[in-house]
Amino acid sequence: MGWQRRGSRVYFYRPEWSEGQSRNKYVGRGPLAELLADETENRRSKQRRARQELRAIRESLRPIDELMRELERGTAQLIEAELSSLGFYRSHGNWRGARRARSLARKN
Amino acid sequence: MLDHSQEKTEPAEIDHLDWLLQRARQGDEDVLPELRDWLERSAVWRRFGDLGHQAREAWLRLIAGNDLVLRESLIRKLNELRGELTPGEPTPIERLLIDRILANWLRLHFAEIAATQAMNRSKLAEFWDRRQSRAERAYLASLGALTTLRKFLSAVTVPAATTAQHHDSNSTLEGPIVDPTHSGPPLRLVDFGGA
Repeated sequence: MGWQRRGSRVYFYRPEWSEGQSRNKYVGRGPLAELLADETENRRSKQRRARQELRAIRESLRPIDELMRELERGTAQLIEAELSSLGFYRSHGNWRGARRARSLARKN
Repeated sequence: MLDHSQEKTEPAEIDHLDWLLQRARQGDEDVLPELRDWLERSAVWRRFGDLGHQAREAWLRLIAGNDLVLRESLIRKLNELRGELTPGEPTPIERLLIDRILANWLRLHFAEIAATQAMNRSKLAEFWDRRQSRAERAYLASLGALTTLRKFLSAVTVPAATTAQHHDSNSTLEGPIVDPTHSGPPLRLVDFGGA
């Protein structure tokens, strides 16, 4: 892919996707090859920049995402503690037991 | 910021809560008084309250940056939202859930702005769209959790206060008490599929 030496000369091969595979298509040399090489390089550097930008965004959001996860985890635990303490219980992921909770509340 | 003595005691407290919850999950009713006691004396309310505050501040910094006008208008909007969600005297768990809703509202707001700005850039737009969807699910789940919790709490507390007046354990001044376990599809409190 890109410029490749064949003997004493370099030729440009353009990467192309076909049938789910990347293939190098021979372009040759001269003005058209130069033009396509520039275009390929521009596209690649644009993709590189986008990847770097995305990585930087992910990195910058990591602390606050972690904070939110901790908040969600803690809140979930406390909701469970609060409802369990009142006599509710979980069944298949849903909370049940209003009757038991009411009778416990009357006792306490 | 949390002080060091608090940090040292937290894991033990949380571990103890885990242990109590494990027993409660197995149907051990003897653990309930201990669980109530733990909830009353525990310092985790403050700890998670601090977390909510930190999260809110971090989102405000991300959204508004140095723009004090935007920051101020967001704070006003948050106060308005808090006012709508807060009853007269919220319980600690309600306060915590409201803090979580506010943090999730900011997170969603941030994702919406970022998604709009990235609209013409495919990879970035995809990334923000995914975050926006997740933020929306988290926001709705946090609202749902508050609603459901209130519904359950009212099922326990309202009848006790009105039984004596009406001699009817199934009605209140506002109308019949709705048993949350028999009123439509059950709601999940916290499972919304990731942050």
